[in-house]
Amino acid sequence: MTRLRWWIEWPAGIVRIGVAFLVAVAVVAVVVRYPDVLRHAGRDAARNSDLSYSDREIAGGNGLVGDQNAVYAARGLIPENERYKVVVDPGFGGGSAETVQFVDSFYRYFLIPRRPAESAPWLICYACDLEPYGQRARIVWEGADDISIVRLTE
Amino acid sequence: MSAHALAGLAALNVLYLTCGLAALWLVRGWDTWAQLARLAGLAYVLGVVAIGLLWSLLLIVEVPFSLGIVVGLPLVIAAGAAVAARRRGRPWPSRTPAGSHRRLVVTAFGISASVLLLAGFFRAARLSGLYWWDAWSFWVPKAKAIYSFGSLDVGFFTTLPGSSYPPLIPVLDAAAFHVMGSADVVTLHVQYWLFGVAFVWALAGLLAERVRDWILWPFILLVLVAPRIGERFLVAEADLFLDYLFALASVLVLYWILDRERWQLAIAVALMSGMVLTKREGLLLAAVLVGAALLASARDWRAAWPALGIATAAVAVVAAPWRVWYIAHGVAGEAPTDGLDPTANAERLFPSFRLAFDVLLSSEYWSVLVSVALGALLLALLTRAYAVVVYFGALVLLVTLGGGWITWAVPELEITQELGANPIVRYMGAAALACAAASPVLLSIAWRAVTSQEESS
Repeated sequence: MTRLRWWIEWPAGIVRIGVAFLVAVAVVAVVVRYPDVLRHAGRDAARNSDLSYSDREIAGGNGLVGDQNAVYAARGLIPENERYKVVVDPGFGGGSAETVQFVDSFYRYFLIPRRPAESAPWLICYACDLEPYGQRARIVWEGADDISIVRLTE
Repeated sequence: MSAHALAGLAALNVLYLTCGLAALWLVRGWDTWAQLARLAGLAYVLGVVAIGLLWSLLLIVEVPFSLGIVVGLPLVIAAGAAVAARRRGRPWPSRTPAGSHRRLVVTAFGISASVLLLAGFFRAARLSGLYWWDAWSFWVPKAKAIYSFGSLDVGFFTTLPGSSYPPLIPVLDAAAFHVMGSADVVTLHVQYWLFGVAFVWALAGLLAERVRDWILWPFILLVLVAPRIGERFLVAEADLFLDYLFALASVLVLYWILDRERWQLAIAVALMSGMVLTKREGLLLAAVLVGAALLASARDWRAAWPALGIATAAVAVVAAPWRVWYIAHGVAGEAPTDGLDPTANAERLFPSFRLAFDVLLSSEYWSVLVSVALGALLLALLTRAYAVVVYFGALVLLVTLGGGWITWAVPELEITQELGANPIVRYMGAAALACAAASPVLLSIAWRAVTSQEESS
């Protein structure tokens, strides 16, 4: 009886019940979520582990670049101290809906220390028109979806 | 990911920890080994922030960022702080007898459950690709540029999105790249996981000084399982790191209000300095922290406010060089376009603040962290713990009002919880973590008030 009064006396008992209740709410929330969070982490780990090296390395760019080989070709062909420009034809049909707008951002991230520049000796060309460059444009790599790496000569 | 990269990262993080332990030894001292172990998480965070700030400031004044700086500076700081601590007469920690059996059981259970979850997060982090938009579009490019060029390359930095965002996080990433031997963006996730582990350790260690174990551990675990917190430990962006610093600084400032021990405010100043060099919102959150502290210490303003003024000035001094750098290089500023004009975008006013409160109260993001904190505020109010209630109440309210203000004052932001269209959900993580820190403190104060009353009567 004394024990019960300890819990219900005003106002101290009510505060005790309140503290116990709120801690219990936290405990219940943890108990409910804990297995899911652990399972989810395990699922993420398995998914990451199953990725190929290129899928893991390109990651956020997989939905943008169209052809993974293009980013590796760009990294392999363009020297680290040279500049490049990504040129995307607005009507480019490969990749995803975001490719036209954002693929240059991905190359900027992926190709560092190579720097992007408006006037550059290298073009990463997504179905771009090479006519204006005339004889200066030499295609050094060509992949799927009309993506190419182009070297502009002097 | 290679063993070499992991070993390098481990060595760097040992340096962070060593620096923090030495710095904490200097400003606070260690009484016992158990206390050192409890506060080692805070020491690590202090080490990361102190070294990161110095690296950032050196970079801003154009000192090349090399492997020598990455390794040498922490060694110099650790050695300097340790020598200064010994000269100041700080003793070595002593051994203490173990605590009560029941306490040890609760603590062991809490630590085990946390470690199990953290191990799960590690497995997810260690082979993760870089998927997050802001991470690959500007945070990591900045880090790769610092690593590759050894400087804040003006031509590169000023053309990136978020070019006025401060450099602390890219600098920490670049340091990780140096010790890993390459810009290994996969292993980089392990660094962020370590920041998360250190935060949990620091929060638990700090709160354990005042909070009963059976109240503490449910909230530590709740942080780990909250949808927008634990599972995002691996995300290579600045949002959670900023929230960690904010939550820890908020606890330290509260302790300073209650105890007035200088080391508490000194470390809070270091963490707030880290906040203002982490994200633009860091300035707002630091101002919120100072505002809440001014309100909570108003009854003792003669003693408290000058110290808070000095603390604010110190944070402003750290914040200034980066702002000078980007203004000097023609980068657009951080303030919202319509600033503080109350007549601008009036139609957005109410929906913006409602959005901030909706996000605050959403269990979809924070589980029950916020609702329990509101209940805890009420219970602490019943036991007349006014200073603590005013402090945490003001803190959460001001953060939320700040979130509403951001949406209102930046007309380009849609009034939506959609992550790509408005940063409100990411920003409000600070309020959620402040609630995670507040709840155990408030509940413990309330419990102590009603049980000590009984003991005295």
